[in-house]
Amino acid sequence: MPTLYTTIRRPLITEKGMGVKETEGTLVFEVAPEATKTEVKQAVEALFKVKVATVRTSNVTGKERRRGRFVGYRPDWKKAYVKLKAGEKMPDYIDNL
Amino acid sequence: MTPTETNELNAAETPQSETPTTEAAAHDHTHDHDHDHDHAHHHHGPVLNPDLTREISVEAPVEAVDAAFDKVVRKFQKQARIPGFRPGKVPASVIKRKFAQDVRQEVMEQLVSERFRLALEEQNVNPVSQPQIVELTLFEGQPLKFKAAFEVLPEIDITGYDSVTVTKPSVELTEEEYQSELDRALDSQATIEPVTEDRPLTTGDLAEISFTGEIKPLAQTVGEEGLENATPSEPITGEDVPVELGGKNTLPAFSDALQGKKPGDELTLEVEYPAEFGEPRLAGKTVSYDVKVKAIKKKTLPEQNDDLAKQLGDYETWDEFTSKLREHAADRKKHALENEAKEKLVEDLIAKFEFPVPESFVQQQIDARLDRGLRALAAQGMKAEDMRKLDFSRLRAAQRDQAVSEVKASLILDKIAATENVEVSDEDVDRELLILSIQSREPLEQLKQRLTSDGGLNRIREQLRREKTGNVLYDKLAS
Repeated sequence: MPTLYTTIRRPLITEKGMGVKETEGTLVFEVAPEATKTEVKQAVEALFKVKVATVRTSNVTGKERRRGRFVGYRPDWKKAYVKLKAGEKMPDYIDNL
Repeated sequence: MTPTETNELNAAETPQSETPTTEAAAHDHTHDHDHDHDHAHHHHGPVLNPDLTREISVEAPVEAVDAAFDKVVRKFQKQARIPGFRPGKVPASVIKRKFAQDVRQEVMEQLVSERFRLALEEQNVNPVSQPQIVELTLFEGQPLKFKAAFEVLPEIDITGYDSVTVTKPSVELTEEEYQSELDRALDSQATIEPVTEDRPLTTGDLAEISFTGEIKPLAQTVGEEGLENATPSEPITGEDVPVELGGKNTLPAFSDALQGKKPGDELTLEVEYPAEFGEPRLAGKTVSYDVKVKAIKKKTLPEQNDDLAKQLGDYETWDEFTSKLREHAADRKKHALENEAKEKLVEDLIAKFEFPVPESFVQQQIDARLDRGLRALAAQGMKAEDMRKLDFSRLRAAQRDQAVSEVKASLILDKIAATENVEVSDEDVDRELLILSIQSREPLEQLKQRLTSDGGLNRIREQLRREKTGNVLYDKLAS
């Protein structure tokens, strides 16, 4: 049974992530690749008890990694930008969900 | 973290009962060790003497607290390496989340010690112990509040210290004392020859004997202490031991029993050792010995001439030797007696003045004494694990009275030194350092540097000042 955490894998605590959080009221997560925008919206609303305005997602291709002459790839994953409704309080991430 | 949490300040910790001594046993004599981890959750610091304890409440406004937090956070921002951020670009909010504990710890160290110092200056008190910080409130956006308890120096009223007198001992060397010194010197050069003629032992002879002795079980001695080396099952034996009949170092019981015996004779005797006998396992016990006389020997003292003088040391003539000997013996006696008198003087002073003693000083003194004792034991070859088995709380208690009087003595002497304007010059300190460097085989410069950095130099200076004060007092008061 999928829980909220199977949809939302972890918050992305990075310079960009923190930046858009401050400037646009947007949270950034890594989400399950099969999750839809709607699912992400529902999950964030339930998890942080906030109202979500829009969700944008993007599929990120895994980077190429080499070990000598063997080429491998990091797994592909999906990123979600979750914009909260204006005036919503920004939740604090619990580090390393 | 809750607002009730207090006393995490590491500065407040002086060594607790067992820590320093066990470490001393492990040959770890550094005394600036870090106690914050061991003691972070002790809510009781070392005992303070309630008579001398002052408690001050310290407060600081919100702005000061926030400024301190900001400063520390900025410092962390520069150093933090967090994945997802370029070095130095980590936002303050992330730092505060991730390093909340560390930031608070550092703010506490800075702010509390700073405010504490300010409060001390303001109220003009001078603590002599590490402060114990209690009821600490420190949160961002709230004013700082804490209470600090510490000991101060007692008020010592030394009026009338110069009415204490001590008798100047007579330091003249008596002829008897000189003679015994001379005897000892001669004895060290004596030759021992076997006596060939067949005759019984008389006074002055050396009897070579072998013996086995058994300690007679005495009710109370065996019960408690007899369990050590000297259990009755372990006899005391000796082979070819020379015994001087009627000699100073010979027990009268032996002299008497051997009188008139011949080589080959066997005898048994009982010896009652006095309670203050030098060998603790024999002291106060009765030992029954089986003795066999093996040979008679005669000790011949050397002739007192210039040749002997040369053998005894760097002397040209016998006369030179005797005069030097007289001089040295007189010197030694003078020093011994004068030291005794000085100690007596200080004892009288201690008895004369009543005042509360800072407990932290006493604890330090006990530490120092134990440290010295353990070093001595280590030098005698005691193993570190055996030392750990010692009952340290009992040892500490045993040292306590001594430590208290030592602390009292130094407090009084310090005070008198101030009154008498006793100063220690740099040359005095340098001379002491030179002696130390020779004793410890540490290069002078290195030693000096080390002591300067760890404050030892000041301790030496204080110690010298006390000694000097003792001398000044002695000159002034002895009659």
